[in-house]
Amino acid sequence: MPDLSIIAGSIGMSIIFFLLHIAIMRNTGDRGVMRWLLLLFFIIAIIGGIIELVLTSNPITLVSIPLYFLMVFSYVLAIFGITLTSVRIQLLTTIYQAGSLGISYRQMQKKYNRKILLANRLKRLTSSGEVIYEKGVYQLRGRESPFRIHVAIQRVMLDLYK
Amino acid sequence: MTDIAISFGVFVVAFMSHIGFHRFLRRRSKRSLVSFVPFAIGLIVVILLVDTLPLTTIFFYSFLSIFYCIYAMSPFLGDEGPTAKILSALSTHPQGLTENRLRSVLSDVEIIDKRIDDLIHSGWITKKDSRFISTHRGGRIAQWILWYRSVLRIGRSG
Repeated sequence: MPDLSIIAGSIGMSIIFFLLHIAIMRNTGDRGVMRWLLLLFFIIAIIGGIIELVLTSNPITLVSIPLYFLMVFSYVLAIFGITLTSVRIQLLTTIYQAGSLGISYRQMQKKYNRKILLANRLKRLTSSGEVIYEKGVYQLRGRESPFRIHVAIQRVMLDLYK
Repeated sequence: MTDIAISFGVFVVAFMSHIGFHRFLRRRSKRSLVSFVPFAIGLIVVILLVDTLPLTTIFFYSFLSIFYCIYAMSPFLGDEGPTAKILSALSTHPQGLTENRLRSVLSDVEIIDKRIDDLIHSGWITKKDSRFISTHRGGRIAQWILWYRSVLRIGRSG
């Protein structure tokens, strides 16, 4: 029954990730969120993999780890990431909160503009350690990171979809 | 493991067909979600080919395709996110940039106007007497997002 063990393992690990990420987010806010999520992801993958190996004694069940990766990162990209950073979602909620009278372009621009967006992004980038702020200047940290790799891949894909 | 390798191979073929199909449509100046259809066809192929680990293989292929489609959506729509622009500007200025200099990388028109157009096209908001109002569908999505943010205790996004 390795087939069912793999599915159960990956769904189980994903549920644990989902519950723990809520607990972590409620206590840390969005400070260093990517670091927390990656750490949580790897801890669950390692512990989950060991438990599966002990329970089934069949290394094939470790396929549940890449499956867990795909489930969790689909959720992070499609729901969590969009809720946290998407400009479209921010605009939509701002318009919704304006009620039935709606909101003019100028009012919306006061609530949401490049100055506010830049401040939000820089706060997030400095708290996650991607960017350092010293003597009034923002600089990249001199090391590669998963986030910078993601940005590089997205640039390649932009060219691919031109 | 052979099943997983086969499903990965099918995914690679679906990916290449998708890019080829997308470029074919782009030459006719169309950008259509129809170009993602090869991934659905790939799923049928995987279902027909699986042998020893049927559920795992179907799940693996499905989530690999879903993950890719979500990941590719921004580049597919031709968006370069503000964070990518900030990091790109910083990478070309190793001595660093002030907040004012970084602000010039972003434009309100690009950040707000394009996205408002997208929201109108997707039917989530509407424009009435030069004011933007959420539609019933957009309102339901916004309610869900606000609830989800309150669960995670996230403030404003963006």
